[in-house]
Amino acid sequence: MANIPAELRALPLEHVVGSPLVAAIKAQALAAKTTVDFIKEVGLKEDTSWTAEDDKTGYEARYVEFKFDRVIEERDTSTDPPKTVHKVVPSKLTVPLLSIVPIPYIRISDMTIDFEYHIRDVETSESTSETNISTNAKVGGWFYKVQLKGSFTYRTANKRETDRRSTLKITVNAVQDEIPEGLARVLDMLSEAMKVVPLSEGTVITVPAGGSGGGGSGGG
Amino acid sequence: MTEKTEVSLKTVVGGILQALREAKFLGDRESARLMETYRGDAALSAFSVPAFTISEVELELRFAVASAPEVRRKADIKVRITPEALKGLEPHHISTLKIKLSPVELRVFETRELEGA
Repeated sequence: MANIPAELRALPLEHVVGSPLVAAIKAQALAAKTTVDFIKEVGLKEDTSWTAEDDKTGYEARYVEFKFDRVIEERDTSTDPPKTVHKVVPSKLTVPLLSIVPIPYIRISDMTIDFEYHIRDVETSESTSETNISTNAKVGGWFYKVQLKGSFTYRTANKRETDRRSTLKITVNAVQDEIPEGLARVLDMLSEAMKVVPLSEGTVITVPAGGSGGGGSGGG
Repeated sequence: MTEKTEVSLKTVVGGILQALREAKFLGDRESARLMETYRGDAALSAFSVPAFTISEVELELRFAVASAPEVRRKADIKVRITPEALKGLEPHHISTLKIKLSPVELRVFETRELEGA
């Protein structure tokens, strides 16, 4: 008995079922922590010019800037009749990084625990209770406390060896969850902070008749 | 020895149900512990505390009937369930009980005394 590996010793059933459940909860919490770390590392940077409440480090949103050519339409009223003028304006887009990258927030949607459990021992402890109610009336009750002990890796075939295959199979399905409401609001505010700044007056271009729809007109 | 290996079937099934309930309790306790952690962390407080429920349990119990119930005495079915007890038995001596379990939501009843009654 002393040589039996730890996993083969009597193991209460509640722990066989409960431990993966606790593991899933811890994994989910770890995933949330990873999301927070992702936001801090990717979307924010420390700002030493101020401190948050409780003397915690202040953060500043990390922005990215893009330079791009923006084609805009303008109404030229100086001519008669007024005509539409197309301009290419070199512009700069400043955008909070958090608003353009997907934030990973994984949720465990379901978990399947599949195992074979051999009941080795049934411990039954019986207890009685008595409760005095008002004068002389007595209510007696009893209940069983049953504990099933077993091993879920026990499988022998006339040999002193343990088959550890297909003992405890856990299937975990995780999905990208909707981000929490508070975070969604933050992202909305950050999205509003997006701005396009023209870098120059721009140059007028002539658009071929028939619109700027384009489309391949390769001659043959 | 035989008496020790024999056990009441309702005790076994009851024990399984008890084990599942306690397994759920282990999960709930972990969620409650995490709730305090989440509450204390400014960033994590925006997230919902992870909690799971056991949605469905399917189990298959293999046993050998040791003694039939005596109706008059309301005796329970005594079974043998340990691997040693089942080893060497003919397949037709081994019974299989399949159970599918799903949680039941407890209802909250208000025990309000009827006014004026």
